[in-house]
Amino acid sequence: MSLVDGARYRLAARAPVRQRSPAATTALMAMVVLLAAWQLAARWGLVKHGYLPAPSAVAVAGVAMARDGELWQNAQISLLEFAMGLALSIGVGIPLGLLMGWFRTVRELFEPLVMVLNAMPRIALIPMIVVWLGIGSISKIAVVFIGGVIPLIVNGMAGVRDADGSLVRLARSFCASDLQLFLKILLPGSVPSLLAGLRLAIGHAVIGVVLAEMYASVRGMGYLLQSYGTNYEAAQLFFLVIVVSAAGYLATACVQLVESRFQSWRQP
Amino acid sequence: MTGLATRLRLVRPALLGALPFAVLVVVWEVLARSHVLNRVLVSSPSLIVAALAKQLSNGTIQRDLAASAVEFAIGFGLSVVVGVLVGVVMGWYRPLSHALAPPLWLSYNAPFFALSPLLVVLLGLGTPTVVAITFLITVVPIVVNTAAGVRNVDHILVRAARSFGATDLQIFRKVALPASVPYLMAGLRLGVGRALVGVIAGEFFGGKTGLGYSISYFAGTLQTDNMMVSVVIAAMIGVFLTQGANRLERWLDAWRGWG
Repeated sequence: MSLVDGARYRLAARAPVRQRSPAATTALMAMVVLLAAWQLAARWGLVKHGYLPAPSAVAVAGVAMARDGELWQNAQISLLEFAMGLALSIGVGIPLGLLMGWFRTVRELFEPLVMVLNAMPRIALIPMIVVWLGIGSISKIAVVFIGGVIPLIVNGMAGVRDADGSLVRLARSFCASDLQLFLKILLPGSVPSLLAGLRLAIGHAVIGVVLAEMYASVRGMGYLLQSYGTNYEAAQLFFLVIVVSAAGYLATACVQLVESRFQSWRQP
Repeated sequence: MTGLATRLRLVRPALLGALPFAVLVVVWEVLARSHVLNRVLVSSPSLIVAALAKQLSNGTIQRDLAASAVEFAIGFGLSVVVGVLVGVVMGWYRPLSHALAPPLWLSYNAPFFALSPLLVVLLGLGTPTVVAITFLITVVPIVVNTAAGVRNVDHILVRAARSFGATDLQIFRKVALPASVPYLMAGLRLGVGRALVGVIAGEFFGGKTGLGYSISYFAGTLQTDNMMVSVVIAAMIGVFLTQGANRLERWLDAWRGWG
């Protein structure tokens, strides 16, 4: 079961594909064509004015928001909430996941609970968390934590359980202690799985912080999105959507870079 | 005696697994009854059951479930159809996959929920907006995984099939499709989860009925008991859908075996 789960995560993990330089040229050209078509469509009024602002309008709005500091002030807050929530979920999720992989009793105790939390849409908890913890940063950190901790637990558990049995037996035959076995075989062996978990966690965390801020807050990127949205300022709205998407992509890409470094640690 | 021991060992995981749930329910109830926790804010298991009974009798749940189910079905169904089609074409024609890569990467983490005010004006409050949001956040992983699956088809197999005079359609059905099933399923699994998130969060911001709308409405009016009912049901639906995806995956694996 858990082996299959690990395999699934690896498949999902492989999804966005890295590219080579001829590919980059194609991508760049496609982007230029897309932007030009979008600009023309907006200028000729093919899309009802106001709903799809032209790229130039989006850029102008973006520059204005960056100039008057509004963007950075709010981005800072969201980044801080994101970082704290993610750090917390790493600090709790990885040890807990490894423990669950290592000790059968711990696993049997908590696996069903973790599976329910893994399968449910955790963003459904946002209103409850806001009622409990208020509209400040604490509730956002809690939402990011809950979003991120579960994939880390699941992948930590899978990482230990999928450890190469012959390596474990070999270490045991040479009288490795439990600690040695853990540090030398199980921990390195679960690094690829943990990194895949981290990437999933970041995805949940980005969505979580933005949704929680949109739901109830007075600052942060989600708040900006919500206020420009409800005022139908589409150019600003699109700019913010692109900024958040790019930030999410950058964070994921960083983990992917580390992942490719550790590719050789992956057990067959 | 040994029979009992064996039986105990068999039910051990189930018993241990149920323990945290039981402890949670009991501790929660005790803390709420003894007023250690504020019952208005945290509710309690017995209050939730009472609220569930009331919602069942006045039809709130049935209405919410129906609305969310329709939105999920249309949003997810549309994502599967469009996602698999685009993914297959993308996987088959490499330049296209290069061209579409950057917008797809950006869309992976895009906060499409934020577009809900525009979507509401454009499409109308309720189902159309929620479906659009669900589609936008669900389609990307399906496209990406389908394309990866088609791209990773063994070229030797394709060439062998061609040498034996297989048509494009036969190659697709007999070689490419079975080979990409694991990837496709990974995409669908991600897609199910994201579609559920899309429906719930879409209803937070652009719905007028449904589970997500109820969660947000009951939270806003501090009807915590009613809110908890919807949260618990949303969790159960998540578990149910995940189990369904597992079943489908096993069934498809069997089909690949002899297909």
